Amino acid sequence: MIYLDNAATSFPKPPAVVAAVERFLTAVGANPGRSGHRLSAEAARVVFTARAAVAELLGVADQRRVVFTANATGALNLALAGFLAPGDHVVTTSLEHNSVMRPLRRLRETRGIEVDIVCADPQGRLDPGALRAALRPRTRLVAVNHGSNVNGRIAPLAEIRRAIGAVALLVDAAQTAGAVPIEAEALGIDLLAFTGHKSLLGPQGTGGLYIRPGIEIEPLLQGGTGSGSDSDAQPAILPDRFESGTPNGPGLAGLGAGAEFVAARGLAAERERGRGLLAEMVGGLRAVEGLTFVGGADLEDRLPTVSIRVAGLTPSELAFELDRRCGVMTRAGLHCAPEAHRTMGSFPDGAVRLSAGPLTEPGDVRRAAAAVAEIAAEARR
Amino acid sequence: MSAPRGCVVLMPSIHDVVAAERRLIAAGIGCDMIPTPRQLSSDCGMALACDCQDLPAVRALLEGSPIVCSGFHRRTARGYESLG
Ligand SMILES: Cc1ncc(COP(=O)(O)O)c(C=O)c1O
Repeated sequence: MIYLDNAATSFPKPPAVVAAVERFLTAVGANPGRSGHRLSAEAARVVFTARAAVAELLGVADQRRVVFTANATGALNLALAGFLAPGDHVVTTSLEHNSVMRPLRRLRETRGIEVDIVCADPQGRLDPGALRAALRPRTRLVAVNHGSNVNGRIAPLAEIRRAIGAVALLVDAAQTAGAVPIEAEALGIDLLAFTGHKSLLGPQGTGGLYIRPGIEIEPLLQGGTGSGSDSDAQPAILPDRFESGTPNGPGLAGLGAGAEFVAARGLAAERERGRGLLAEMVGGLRAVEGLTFVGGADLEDRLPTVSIRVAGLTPSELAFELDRRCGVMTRAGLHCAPEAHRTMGSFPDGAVRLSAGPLTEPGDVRRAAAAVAEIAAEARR
Repeated sequence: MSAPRGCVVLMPSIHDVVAAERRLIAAGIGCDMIPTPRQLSSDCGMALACDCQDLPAVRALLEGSPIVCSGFHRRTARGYESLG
């Protein structure tokens, strides 16, 4: 079995993550900080540890400004709907996931915000100057995907930050958090959405948003936080303001352990490991006759994520054969990013995406490339 | 029943309570996370109790940190006395 669908969610998880989830469910279990007894205190410590570990990996000093959500989608919805007001103009890119595109569309319809989409090139490269050129006096937000979930291209955040001046910057780090070094504060990022279940190695149902000091956003949910309980007003303090309701204790226990696993390896080392896996993957696939890369076959500025097409097979046929015959799990289709596929010339058919993750071994990637070669050869006959 | 620690530090969020607990433990100061006494506040469901003799050290540690404290209190025969 070779799992190459880490861009959707990472698998397997380190044993320490599994142990942390199990410990929470068997030995902690309580509602974090709400109830005052010893297990409630211990649950609060678990959540604190996860927040501290994630903040450290994202280059955020004030841990309170990292608020947990159910996933990156929850964080992106909070950032967009919580920040944008009627009349605002937003600049975004053709590389965005539907978790940015769909909330923006709804805000266009319901709040009359205006959106301009800046096109990347067919390799998924963004021109910071083009983002700058799209700015208007009413532009209040620039929203960019840090790592493409189609071809793994990493956006040049420092250049983008410089190009857009003082306009607020929202970064979708779903693909990059835990995979590459990110210094959210030093880079001047205003809002950064991450997911816990990809390269941060936590369980599904975890994610969050970093909110820079001075950025005012409205919570999407109001409710119990365990604080300010004598008032029906939502607390103003962070993280409570954005964390109404019982959190995902077991998930956050696992996320904390995942983030600590990543920190122990080191983000720079993880980035290098990703480069090695990408080179291995591209090297193996390059030799396959009838194969085309969607979004390029270069090794620059990319996560170990590659999208391909093979002559004579639809993406879903190729993915099905890889899984059924060779035990190689990939993902076919448009990867929730139709505009990105349009940009890379693979809309509407899509592609097969092979994505390595923190626990993928180089041998897995080599065997997967060999499996693609075998199926492609059969398709030619 | 063991005698409870006599001073209580309030914070607006459970995040700060755990952050404060970490600092005090690291500094070798004994403390307990306790349910916030109802008479004091409803800021956060839990608060940090410490021994009153440690209070100056606790104040110095927390006030020189990013942790937000919303009040220091001492238990008395009639309830709690605010120490600011
Ligand atoms: C670029 C990008 N943004 C957002 C998401 C949404 O993440 P989640 O499924 O955690 O909400 C994903 C992954 O699914 C993604 O690849």
